[in-house]
Amino acid sequence: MLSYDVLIVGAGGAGLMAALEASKAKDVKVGVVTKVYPTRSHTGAAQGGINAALANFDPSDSPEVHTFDTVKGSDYLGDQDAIEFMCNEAPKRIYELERLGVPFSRLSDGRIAQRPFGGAGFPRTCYAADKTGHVILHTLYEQCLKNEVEFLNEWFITELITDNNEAKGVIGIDIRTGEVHAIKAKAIIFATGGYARVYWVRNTNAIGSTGDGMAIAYRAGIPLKDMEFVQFHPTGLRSTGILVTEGARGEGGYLINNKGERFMSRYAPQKMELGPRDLVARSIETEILEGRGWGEGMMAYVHLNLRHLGARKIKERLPQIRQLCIDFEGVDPIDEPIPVRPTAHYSMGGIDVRDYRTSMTGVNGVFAVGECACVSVHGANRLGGNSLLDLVVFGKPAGTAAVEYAKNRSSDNFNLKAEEERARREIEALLKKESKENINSIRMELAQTMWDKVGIFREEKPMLEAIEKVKELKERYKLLAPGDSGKIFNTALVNYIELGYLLDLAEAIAVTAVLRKESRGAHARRDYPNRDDENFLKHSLAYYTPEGPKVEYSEVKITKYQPQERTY
Amino acid sequence: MEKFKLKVFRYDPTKDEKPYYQTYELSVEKGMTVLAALFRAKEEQDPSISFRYNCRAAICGSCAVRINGHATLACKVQVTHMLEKYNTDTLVIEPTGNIKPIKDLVYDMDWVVDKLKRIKPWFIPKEEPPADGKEYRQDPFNHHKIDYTSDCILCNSCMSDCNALKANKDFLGPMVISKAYRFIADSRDGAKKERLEEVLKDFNLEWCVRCMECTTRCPKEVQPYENIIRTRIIAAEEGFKSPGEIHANIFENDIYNRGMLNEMLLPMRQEGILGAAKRAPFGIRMFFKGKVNIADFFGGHKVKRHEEVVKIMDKAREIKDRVKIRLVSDVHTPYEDKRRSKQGG
Repeated sequence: MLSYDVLIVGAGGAGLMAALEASKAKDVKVGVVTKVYPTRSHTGAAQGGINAALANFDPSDSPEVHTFDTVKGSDYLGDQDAIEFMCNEAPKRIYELERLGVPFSRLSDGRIAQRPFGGAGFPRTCYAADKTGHVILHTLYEQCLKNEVEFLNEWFITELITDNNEAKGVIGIDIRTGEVHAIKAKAIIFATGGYARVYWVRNTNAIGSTGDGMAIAYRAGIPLKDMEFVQFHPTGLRSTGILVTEGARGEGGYLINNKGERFMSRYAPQKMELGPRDLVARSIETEILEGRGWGEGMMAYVHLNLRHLGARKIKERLPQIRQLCIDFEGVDPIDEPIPVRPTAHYSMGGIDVRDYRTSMTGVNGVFAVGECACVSVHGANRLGGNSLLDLVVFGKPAGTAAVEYAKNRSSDNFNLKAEEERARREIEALLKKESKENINSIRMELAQTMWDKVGIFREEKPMLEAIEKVKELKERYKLLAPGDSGKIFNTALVNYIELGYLLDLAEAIAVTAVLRKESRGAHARRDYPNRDDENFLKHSLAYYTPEGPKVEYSEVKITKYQPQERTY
Repeated sequence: MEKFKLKVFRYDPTKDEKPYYQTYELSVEKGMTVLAALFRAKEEQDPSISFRYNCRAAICGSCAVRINGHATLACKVQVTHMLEKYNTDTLVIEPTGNIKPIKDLVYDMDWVVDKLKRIKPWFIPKEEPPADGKEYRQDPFNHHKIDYTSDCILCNSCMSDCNALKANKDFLGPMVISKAYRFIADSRDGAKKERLEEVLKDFNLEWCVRCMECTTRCPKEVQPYENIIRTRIIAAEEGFKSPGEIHANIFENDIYNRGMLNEMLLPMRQEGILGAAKRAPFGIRMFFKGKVNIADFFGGHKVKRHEEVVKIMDKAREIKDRVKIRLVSDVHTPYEDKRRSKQGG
């Protein structure tokens, strides 16, 4: 049986950062298991940049201002001790990334360049043109190759095995052979990314962003925190939802409606297009709903204009965006405005992390980092440029903490073999099962329901309907089967299990959203338009039960900044 | 609604003795990418088709396949455009060329990663971190040298269509050499010599046949072919005497000394008398076809207004270290335009 001291599930930015750190320890066996090749991870799609108060562009910036911007951006739901830690660590981690070789864009004096981003007091976002995530992901992978980190590429994890509140291992399928294996591990770090694929019809995420780690941890009894907070990115391409970076607005792009107005002046008179994402997304959606957009239904949009930036700046700073617009929308932003619309983008919620210094969950030896985790540093709304930061800042100490934890554990006699046998029989049964449903129709109905009823604007009645609909889809899912009995590269089996994850997560999102009777950050309720600190300045915790999530609440850590009204 | 045929390469080594093709009929939809078409076939007609995918936005590099013989990312191209481009009702989808298929459209990535590891594809700093504890400094001009090449998403489109790799599986291939260039050209990197030695081994840099398929196929404008040439230039500047460098030197001296190449003496200067003797029959045939001048054997003549050539070259040599030439950002469009105008004309 495969056995590791530290096993990292997921090889995006957070997973690789943890792996890189853990691989420095001697006499500790570290493995990374990932369902796609590491460089295929969704971190690579992050475009605009990574925040750190280097003060390269504006010397008045500081980690304190960064902390405040993040607290305010989170609509005061972020834990302030963790946010302060993240913002203080930020410059050190950027310098570390640079010394690992990340080719950041530069100022004329050779220092790292920075650009303005939404909700930030200063130009604080370090970048490499519009491919920042891509170069960070590749650099971390390169360094892992250098450190000879052991990768199990194209393995799909299906279960977390715990005993007596302690990590024992995972069950996974080697996609290339189709074999089901148990992997023994003393410490397990989940770094599996987000769940925006719940909104399959309109999202910026990779097809594989199905919240695997969250659903696995949830089913194993670890609560999911703040699941009701889903970030809708203001600018996705009209027809595909593919991301157009906030950097496009940071470089000076602006939004216009069908009357030719820069409508953001009504919603965020000071920050304009560089307001926080929740606010800009709601503004665009309001313009569309009130008839000031173009097009109809799912295809409605407003314009993001970059033409005034000129061909040279667009080619130099936003080359990838330009290519995406040409390939996927048939529009060259040098000549025409880009049709955009808000799009499901990021999961603020995730696996409940109990200690931000180690990223350990409530189960000993189980850690979570990156988008699949909820520390919480993003609270009710994440600021652009803080997600890549989250990966590197929390990935590193999680690697160290997992090594320390594993060192203090001796091997035990837990019978993982029995679990392996059971899981193998279950998968074999699945492969033989006859399908009476279509995967695409369940997935699309789930997505349309979530978009229509638990989307940007929310209300009690539709959300209750959504919960019922998800329950119905879960019943129909029982009639579904992968439909392919092959062993090698059976991606139908993978897709089948992923849909099961999405259904569980959708239910947790909808149930926590109904219970939060206030508007905060990305959670905007028409029936409760105001923030209610008295009753809801608290994190939701969803626990798995076969009948649906059981919801409890936990305290928000407030240190320096008392909640204030949030205007931009 | 109009229909088209998606003809997919199928191969499951546990079931099939050899590969075969299976055709799925689908409706033509505006805006549908080839990747979306593959999913449509998988989810509505045959769940057993295997292919790689993830970002569906041309950044993760998973879904490179050959469409009607040419490699590209399935997520980046639209069905209607492809049908129009090849003037057909059938799209033939095959796995990337030159790399062993594992199942259907899925190829053996480990083979490529093993090649990559040979050039040490990781940053090796030249100096200790700066005393102020901050970043290594790199001016925008030097950053620009590695800007496009760090766009590489390891999708293997270039490896798939590389003609040299087809002939020699030990060739590192455009993606790997381009990756080596990304570090060789990085002003912060300290392992330039080591990396150059690796890419010069077994004439790897010389194996490129300059067909430019790699640059034409690259979905991210990484310019692999240009990066191979740039690597050769850096190797020469660093004093490596590869056959290519000796060849280029002979050209340069001939142009300076007489304004034109002396083809009669070229083989002898390149490969010595013994080497040149092997080529004698070829030289004699060229002579009888009137392709070479026998007088060249004895030094030959110069071009008219040779002194002007000397002046130009003197000036170029004088300023070559001062002038900074920025890499062109877009090599794709000129190539495409050229091809189109050739097709049109």
